[in-house]
Amino acid sequence: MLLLLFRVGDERYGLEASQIVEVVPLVCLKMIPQSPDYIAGLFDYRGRPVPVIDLCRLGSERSCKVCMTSRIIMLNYGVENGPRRILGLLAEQVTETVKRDPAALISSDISITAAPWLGDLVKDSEGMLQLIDVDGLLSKTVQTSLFSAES
Amino acid sequence: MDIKDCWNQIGVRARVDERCPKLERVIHCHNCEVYSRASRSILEQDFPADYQQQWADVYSREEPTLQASRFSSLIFRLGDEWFALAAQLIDEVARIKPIHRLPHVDSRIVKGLVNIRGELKICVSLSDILGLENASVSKVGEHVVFARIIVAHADDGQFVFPVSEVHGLHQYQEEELEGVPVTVSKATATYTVGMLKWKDRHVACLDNELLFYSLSKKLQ
Repeated sequence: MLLLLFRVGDERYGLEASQIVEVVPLVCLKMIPQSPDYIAGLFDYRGRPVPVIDLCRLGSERSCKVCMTSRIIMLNYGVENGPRRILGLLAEQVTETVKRDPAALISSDISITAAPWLGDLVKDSEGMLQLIDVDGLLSKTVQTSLFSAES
Repeated sequence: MDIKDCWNQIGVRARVDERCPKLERVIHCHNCEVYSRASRSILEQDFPADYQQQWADVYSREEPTLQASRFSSLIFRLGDEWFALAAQLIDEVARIKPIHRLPHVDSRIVKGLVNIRGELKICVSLSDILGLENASVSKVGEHVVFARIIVAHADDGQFVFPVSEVHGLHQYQEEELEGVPVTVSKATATYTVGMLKWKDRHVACLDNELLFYSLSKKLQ
């Protein structure tokens, strides 16, 4: 399977490419007042508002750097009992894809309640990189607040 | 930004005896991860002015729907006039070959027999069907012109006809097909479904069904 690599803080992460619609540059986003700090804002994507999650905020204490390699990964996101939506993920150093055998995935065996979006691990020459489990990214309450208005 | 350009110091660009040991494995600096990491770090910089806003504008627009060209036709020349014939009917464009005349056959339509890949085929004259005058006159412009033989197929068999020149394929949309102007000579207009604009001239798009129908009628 093809993985898109990026960094969150100093750690390397990957996302399965089959879920990705498009990778776009870090554009101007519309801030959402009173939203959790890991929601970077709303992206006017082809005429429809798409919420963008700042993965750095989710995985570390700071926001993503504003630079050319920070990009927004647009991915198909399945809301429970609802149609598929598009969700934007903002990450750093989105510059590389690698091919990995799905059999080479190692289950992390650690489930952290605060970070249910951590998935399996992949080993490579630079060490371990962790896959993002898309379904665990948003808690149910955030899901409904972000997407309920559209449905 | 601090980039250590080892490819200039000990890599393939360096004029020194002592080379990077990694070269034995990667052969060229282009294949080395140090090189690709350095190139990626060039992107680790601030946005140029207006960059974010420009991209925001690009993505706020509706996605442009790319319309694929739905029609394709072969453009060729008969004498002084250019014609287009639907590309899916063309089997082959062959080099001009000797055409063996047949005795006691109307030589205006049937030019004779021609050998196409070991098969003898009846070679017809498209210019006579279309009522073109002086079709044999080949106008040589600035470039070298090669006469060709086109092998096309219809529902009831193949047709082989010589042309003065073949340009190649041209793709177009249905709406690009314009009506036939009244000034076009009557015989040609009958076999034309529309005019195509190609380069700076108009090309008559041939009605293949009617053309091949009347061809097979005349051959009987």
